[in-house]
Amino acid sequence: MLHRIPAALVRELCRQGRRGLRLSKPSPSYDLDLLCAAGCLAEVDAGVASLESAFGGALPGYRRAVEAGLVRVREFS
Amino acid sequence: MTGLRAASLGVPFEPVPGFVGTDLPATADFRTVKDPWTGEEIYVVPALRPRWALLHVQEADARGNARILGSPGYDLLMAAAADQVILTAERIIETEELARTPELTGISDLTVAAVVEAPGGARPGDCPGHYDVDGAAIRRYLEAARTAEGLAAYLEAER
Repeated sequence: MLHRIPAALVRELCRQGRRGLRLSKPSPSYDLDLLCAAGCLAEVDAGVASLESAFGGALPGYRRAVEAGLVRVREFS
Repeated sequence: MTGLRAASLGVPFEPVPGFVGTDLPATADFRTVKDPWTGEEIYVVPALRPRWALLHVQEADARGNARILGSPGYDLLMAAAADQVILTAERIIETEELARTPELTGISDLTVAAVVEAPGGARPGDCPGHYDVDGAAIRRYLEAARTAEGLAAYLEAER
């Protein structure tokens, strides 16, 4: 989850204002949340998605984007 | 994971066990095929072939040959599934250094489009051998991301 995430690269995508991206990753965390919070994502293919339990587990940016209908989620195995 | 594995193997779909009787298959367009040997129906998921895999590794050479130290997680799968790979690395090292232990080179330069030296590039996450998860930085992100202004300031500060 928080293991060798390409965090600096993802922050640069956010700063560049990328839009309409699709993320396919088995167990995303900070990267998924940040891309959602910055409005970069349109679609997500993921299984479990979470910050680790020490940080409350949930991904608030991801939750807001999904609840607002901004991101389409496919949960594959 | 299964969809990426199908892409990594060059097959159009892959069977997955279970899921029968749940609502999950309908949410992600799982379909069924008939097992040609037994005639049983089984769910399959389509190959997921991303354009790019974005990965952070400990060591890479300038051409994009790279090694991951510690658990690779799903990174080697993502590299194999995607058309091309963009790497950030804690250190750029000489190809000769990689060649001394070739079995550690999990990512070859064949599909790597770009490699960037980015020490600390996985923070606030961990990078085994270099740093652990930074809990205070995670909490700082969560606080900043509550508002658009906070997030913009965070992204500018975390360069």
